[in-house]
Formats: sequence, structure tokens, C-alpha cells
Amino acid sequence: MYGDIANKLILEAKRSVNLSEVPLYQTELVKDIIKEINDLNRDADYLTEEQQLLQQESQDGTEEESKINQCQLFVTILSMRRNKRCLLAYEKLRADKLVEFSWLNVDPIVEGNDKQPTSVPVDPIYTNYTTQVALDNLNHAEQEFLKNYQELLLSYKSSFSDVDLSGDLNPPTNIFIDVRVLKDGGEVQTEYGSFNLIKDSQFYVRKSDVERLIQQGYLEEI
Amino acid sequence: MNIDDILQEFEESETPVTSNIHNNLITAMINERMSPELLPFAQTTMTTALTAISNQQQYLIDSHEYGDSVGSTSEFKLNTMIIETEIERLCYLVRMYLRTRLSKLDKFTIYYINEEQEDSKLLSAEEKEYIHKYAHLLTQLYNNCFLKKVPPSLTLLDDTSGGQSMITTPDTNQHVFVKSVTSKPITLFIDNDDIELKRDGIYVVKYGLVKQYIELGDVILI
Repeated sequence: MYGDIANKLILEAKRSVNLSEVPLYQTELVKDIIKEINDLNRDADYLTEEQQLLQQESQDGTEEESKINQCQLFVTILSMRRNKRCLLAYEKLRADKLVEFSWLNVDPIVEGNDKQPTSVPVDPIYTNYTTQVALDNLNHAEQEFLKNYQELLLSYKSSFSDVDLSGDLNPPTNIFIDVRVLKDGGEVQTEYGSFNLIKDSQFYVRKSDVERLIQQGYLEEI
Repeated sequence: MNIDDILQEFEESETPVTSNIHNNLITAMINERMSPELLPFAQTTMTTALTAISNQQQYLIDSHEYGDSVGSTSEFKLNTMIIETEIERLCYLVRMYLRTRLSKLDKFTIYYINEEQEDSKLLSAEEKEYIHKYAHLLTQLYNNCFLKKVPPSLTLLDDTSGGQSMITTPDTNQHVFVKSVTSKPITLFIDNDDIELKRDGIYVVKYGLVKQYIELGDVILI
């Protein structure tokens, strides 16, 4: 059935909506859909030709045939359009997830690097939020998109240098908060002195100083 | 018109001047968050807010530099803390405002590119740059992923033929909660019915009906 593969792709997209990462790019499915579209396009071309021939003959007997033909053409074109819409929807969802991720200031995971993937922030605002991206799951064009979008964001943010646009979207309450260190890191310098990131130690620090570290999963607010 | 009317009018004209940056910013932010479509960019509010933030920050830096002699007193610390909280809050409002706008631009990219005119106040200069670059990036992504492989008749992104428009437009029929803040009653006409919005009254109406009053500032979204 036409559109079956596209349906699979949409199901796959729907499944990944609430994931915190971008799943593997469905190269095969997309390739199959493109193939189907091109097949359908050839069908449509053929049917249009047929239609013209039938119209030239335009005898009583061919009228029904012409109607059947028109119907076929219509369904073919509809299927093509539907396939295209499914492809667009799939890609847009992935692009949106990449955009979401770009706001987080976290580096994408490069496979082959034996570093543990950064743990997902536990903040409730980040549920259903794309918090990790593995570069290997993206196709080439998407990697390019991610890179370019991050540049675009940077240039947009630079016009509001005083405001950290990718900061926390929860209303601020206290400027100083208690944090617990989740994993080892180096020394952190702040206006109020420095502290060392040693696992399971706790600090009382200014929130704006450690915002980035919380997003990157080094610290957790308690 | 008796003296009370004149006094009242005077008071009304006074309010926008005396109301502080905070209130303006909060109104702008909530309006933007609650409306289904993009509202004109609050240029003056934004400029004052950004100036206020950088002024406060400059003051902090100055007081850190020159404040060593008084730096240890608790009064000074309290002062700094209040200012820092203030900055945090302003930053939060600005951040929320700008990101809400960006998320709408992301959603309705093609629509707002078509809407946008050279002199329009809908988008700020930065947003204009952003939306064009974003659209360019998306198109590039789609093209590289699959559009270049499908028949040319299907490669359009803003196709409106075939009974279905590909351009996502904001839904102005969405219902919104509004509060009237002007003393003049506003009458809305819905089919054969009409309702009157009284000062401080809270109503649920379709966004399209109150759109012009929101732009005038007579009605705020809540």
C-alpha cells in the first residue's frame, strides 16, 4: 500500500517526541519513501499521457475509462503529497529537537570518546526536553544544521549580552542556592572565591555562577 | 464633562509614565506568552529594561571596585544582594519574553517571513535576521535530506495548491483570558450578540476579537 512506509516513519517520529535524545536517523525508511515518491511520479506521468490520449479519442466508450484514469491519477498525486508531508514532518521534528538542544549549552556527544554521557538534569522543566544529542545519530545535513544553528543562536544572543538567554526558564527565587556535586571536575572560580568539584560535596553558591554547570550535569540543586 | 472626568483622564494619562519598567515588562511578557500569534515587538520597554540591567550591573562592578573600604559592612552586602536579585528578575523577564517570541518564530517561520515588511514593528532587527537565517537553514536541511531527490513539482515549501496550505498560521480563534484595563467600556460583537468589557473585568474571548485592543494596551492577557 502506498504510504505504508511513510506511516512507519511517522510512528517513529511520534515515538521520539518525548525522548530526551535524538534517535538514529532512519536512512533506509527515508530512502524507501523517496523511491516510492519517484515511482508514483512516473505513474502519474504515465497516467497523464494516457488521459490525453483518451481525451483525443473522446468517444462514448472511453468516458468511463477516462473517469477511472482520472481517479487513479488523483490518488497517485495524493499519495505523493502525503509522502512528502510525512518526510517534512519527520525532519521538522528532528530539527526542532536539535534547536531545543542548542539552547542548553551542552556539547553533543561524539561517539568513540569514552567519556560517560552527561546525565540528564533532574529539573522537572527538562522532562520531554532534548538533553542529549549523539552526533552519530544525525545524518550529515543535520550535523551541518546543528552547527549552523548554534552559530545563529550565538549571533542572536550576542546582541543581548547582559541577559543570559539560555538560562533557567523557572522564575528566579534565591540568588544563592545549595548545590551538590554529581561528578568530579576541576576548580571553579567565582566572584565569591573558588571551589573544587569533588563528587558528593556540597556548596552554597550564587545561582547565576553555577547555572551552566547545572545544565551540564555537574551539579544538582538541593 | 465635569472636573472629575478631567481629573480621571489626567490620572489615566499619567499611569503609563509612572508605572515602572517591571510592570511594563511583565505585561509584555505575559501578553506574548498567552497570545497565539506574535505581538509587535515592545521596543521601548525592551530598550529601557536592557539599559536598566546594564546600569545596575555597572553599579555593581563600580561598588566592587571602590567599595573595599565599606565592603565588609552588612548593609553593603544587603544592598548588593537586593540589586543582584533585581537583575536576576529583570533578566528572567527579558529572557522569557525573547524566547517566547523566538519559539513562535520557529513555529510559524514562513508565515512571518511573508507577513514581514520593511518598516513593520512586528519584529525587532535581531529577530528579522534570525528568522531569515533560520528559514534558510531549514530549507537547506530539507533539501539536503530529501527534497533534492524528489520530482521538482513537490519541492516547494510554501505550496498552497491542492486544497491544503503548507504554511502553518497562528490560530487567532483560540480562546484567551483577558482583563480590561481601560475605563472606557469596550464592546465586542460576536455574530448577533455583543458583550461589554468593563474595567478590571475578566473575560474569556476569542483572540481575534480583542487583538486590536491588546495592541492599544486597553486589554491585557492574563
